[in-house]
Amino acid sequence: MKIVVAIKQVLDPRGFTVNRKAEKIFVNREEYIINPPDRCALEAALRLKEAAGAEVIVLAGGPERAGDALRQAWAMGADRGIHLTDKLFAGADGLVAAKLLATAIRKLADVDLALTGDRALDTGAGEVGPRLAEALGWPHILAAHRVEVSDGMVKAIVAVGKQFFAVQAQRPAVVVIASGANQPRYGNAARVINSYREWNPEVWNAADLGLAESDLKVAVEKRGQAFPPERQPGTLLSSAGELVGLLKRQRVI
Amino acid sequence: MSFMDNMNTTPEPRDIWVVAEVGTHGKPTPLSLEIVGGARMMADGLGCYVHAVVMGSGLEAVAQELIAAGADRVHVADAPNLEHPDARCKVLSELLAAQPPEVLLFGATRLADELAPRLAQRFDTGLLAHCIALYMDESERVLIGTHPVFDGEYYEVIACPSARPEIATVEPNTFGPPYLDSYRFGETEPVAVDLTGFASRVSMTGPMDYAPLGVPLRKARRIVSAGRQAGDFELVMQLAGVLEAHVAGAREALDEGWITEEQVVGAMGESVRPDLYVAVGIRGDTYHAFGIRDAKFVVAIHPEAGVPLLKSADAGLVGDPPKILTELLESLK
Repeated sequence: MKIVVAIKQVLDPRGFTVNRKAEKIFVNREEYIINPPDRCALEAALRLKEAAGAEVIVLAGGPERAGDALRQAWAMGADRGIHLTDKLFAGADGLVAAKLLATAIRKLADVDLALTGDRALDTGAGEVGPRLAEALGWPHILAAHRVEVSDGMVKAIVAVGKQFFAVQAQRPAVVVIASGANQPRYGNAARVINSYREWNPEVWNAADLGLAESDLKVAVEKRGQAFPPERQPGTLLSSAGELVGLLKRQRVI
Repeated sequence: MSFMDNMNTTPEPRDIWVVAEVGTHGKPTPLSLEIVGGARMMADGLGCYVHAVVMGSGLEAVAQELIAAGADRVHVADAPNLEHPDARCKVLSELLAAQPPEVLLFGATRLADELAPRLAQRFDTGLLAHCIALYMDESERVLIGTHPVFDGEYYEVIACPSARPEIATVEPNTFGPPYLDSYRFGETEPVAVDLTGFASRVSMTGPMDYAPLGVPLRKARRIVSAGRQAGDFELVMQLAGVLEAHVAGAREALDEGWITEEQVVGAMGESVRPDLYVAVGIRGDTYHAFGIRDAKFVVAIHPEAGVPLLKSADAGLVGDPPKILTELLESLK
């Protein structure tokens, strides 16, 4: 069984602070991490590998630094890492990312399962999983908490609101793992160091994937940043009923 | 070019379409009405129509309310087996392929998470996901969306300038409540649903019992926290139960033996970022304030009016905590 996990490298949110008053982002340490929800997806894949035996292939797009994310994934236990990188891929949005991943998965051939995290920290959108499913013509499962495979099917427990449902889909399928569904393991420290010494991710560029510039037209463009309002001084209330009313108006309960 | 030539070309994308959802009570959800109201304002600026689509079964009474909120035409797909997202995706994509919209809006719900990215990929276009502000730039005729990134640390402003339709999913409170005009005129159009030979590749059964992994305190969405002046810890636990919140406390609560080391919030304990943080009888020294600096809405309950936390909290109540908690539990029922 071949399981593909699509991971994204994002800026470490602990490395920057946002000043709402000055409307600026101050980056103190420019460090990149594997998008935390994607780590849950990788963990789910590694558990499937341990339970049923599988080859776990990690795909990551991005500039040269995305190789570090693949090395971390390899240290966690992935079997293969493929780095999709090309000048043409720069600034990819969900549309292009899904096309890239779908092309790579087709090139890998005989993939049974593709796992993704439920959102990317740096865009906040959980679009790549269903988009990938559409690009491949596969079914998808959203917000999966536990995944199992049986002959020709993938079974998952998914959260819908506060309830849980048992879902099964025909393979091949895309399964979007809920963040917090599992506790991702840490890569063995020696393996992390060794990953730089004795292992290199495979590098695929646009020519390897057979993609031209016209296939990679980005749809969404960034128009700037906005900032949440500064915190206002609060109000002193007189009764508990008033508090409940306020909480309901603010939609916090 | 003759009229017949025009018939064969794909129609020009036009109008604003809203995928409305129906709540359990058989009426459009408030979010759907809000988005139809927002779409109405955009359409008035552009000079185009607002279409609403509802899918499900037993939808006779739904259209009128959507028209009142601003829809010019309501497409009703009323069929018994339209509950499954895959079936809805099929019906919706066929409908939209025949009449391509310029803008397609969803409420940011589970259904939108399933459908919007799939449709965006199918129509080769962009998706403005989870927008908390959305407006139509009429000079460019482009939809501009603002959505939170890095868990709401800041917002990014995005647009989809060339591909059509522009698809967006919209969070509640983006447009505000709609103006409901029950005398507004609109059309209702049934959608032919043909699901013969359609078998979803995904099947769903349940609900079932499943205990998800416990959420750690630092990721909790709601926290009720106790301090030295909390008085009755049992009431604090009860409030947490009613609010489905985590129980935590300031360092003093650990001294009282109410909580464990892992539940201490503050600079020497956990830093938390919940949507709601209720501090019961906590003074709010610097250490504690550091631990809750990222909390979205802080409620302070304390017997003394001058304590620091009452000054920095979003809402404060001065009084005897056990008494206030009892009243709170009463009014939350």
